[in-house]
Amino acid sequence: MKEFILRYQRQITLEGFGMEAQDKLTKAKVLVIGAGGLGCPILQYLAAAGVGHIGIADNDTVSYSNLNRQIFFGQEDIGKFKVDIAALRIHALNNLVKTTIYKQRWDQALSIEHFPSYDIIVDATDNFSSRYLINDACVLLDKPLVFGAVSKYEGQIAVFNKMQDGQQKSNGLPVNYRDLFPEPPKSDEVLNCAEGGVLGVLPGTIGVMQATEVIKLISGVGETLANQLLTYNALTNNFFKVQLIKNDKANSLMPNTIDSFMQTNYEQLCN
Amino acid sequence: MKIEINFYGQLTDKTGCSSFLMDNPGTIADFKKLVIEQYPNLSNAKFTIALNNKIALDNEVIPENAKLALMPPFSGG
Repeated sequence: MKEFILRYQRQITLEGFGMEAQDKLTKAKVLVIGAGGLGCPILQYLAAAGVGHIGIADNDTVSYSNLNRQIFFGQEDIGKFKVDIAALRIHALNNLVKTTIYKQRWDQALSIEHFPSYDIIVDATDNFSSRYLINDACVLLDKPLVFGAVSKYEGQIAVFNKMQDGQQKSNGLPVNYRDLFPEPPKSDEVLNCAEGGVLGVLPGTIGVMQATEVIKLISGVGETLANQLLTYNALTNNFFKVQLIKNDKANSLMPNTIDSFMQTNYEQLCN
Repeated sequence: MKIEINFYGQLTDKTGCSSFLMDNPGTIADFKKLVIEQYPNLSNAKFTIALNNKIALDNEVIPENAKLALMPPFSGG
């Protein structure tokens, strides 16, 4: 208990946070999909903050081109599975945190099986097919989704499928990623990080902001980005926040049953 | 009266600029048509339009001195 108090003393001391918020973090279960540029800082800060149970999903191994931004990994980790290294580092950082690792590429079946046991899902992936799949699963299974994505020098953060505190669902449904972008772009429409490049610190900034949203959602402290999209430009220091609204087109394009979700080919959707 | 247009993400690669001013075209639908005429590369790009910091519908009338933002989806992580 003494270690617990000492470890979290700086945040327990915070006015409006206290032991009550810390207890909520301890009891929370968060799934982070993607242990790359966004996932590394998200995992580090959630573990440091004391989120009780963290799921880590990634099927990739560490390569040299990851090291400019994926700060959980070092040269000695090249070729090893990211989830294995991430779990080791989390335990070294905070052995009060329980981890579950998923070494497969995230798919529909994993979503249906595992989303129900988590409180919050975090999208830290690097491709549109995963992003649409995760979004649709969160809508079907009614899970809050903390979204983050980067492009060159800019990043986006949002909280989907969650009403702002104090707002009731009877006053309108929460928005999701498809309300913002109903259809995925084709693979040649948007350059990914490998093609377009990304400033190494940028996913750090965006990932830390996603972790902040997760901590606020769990603890109930502050206002989240529910129903809003925040865009950050690292070159200009410009933060731009937009209020999101429901999009009629989104509903018609989204699978509305588990069966139709399972049958959707997300790879093809984005190619 | 002019309105201000801002491009985000990789849309700036397609337009070659991050912002410009134009005469108020009327509605969001009118604006979409004009902006694609001016920047044909945008015709095959996916983006959402925000009007004064709120996502805009096609039939919305653009007020004077409005700020429009064209935001594409980002995939990287």
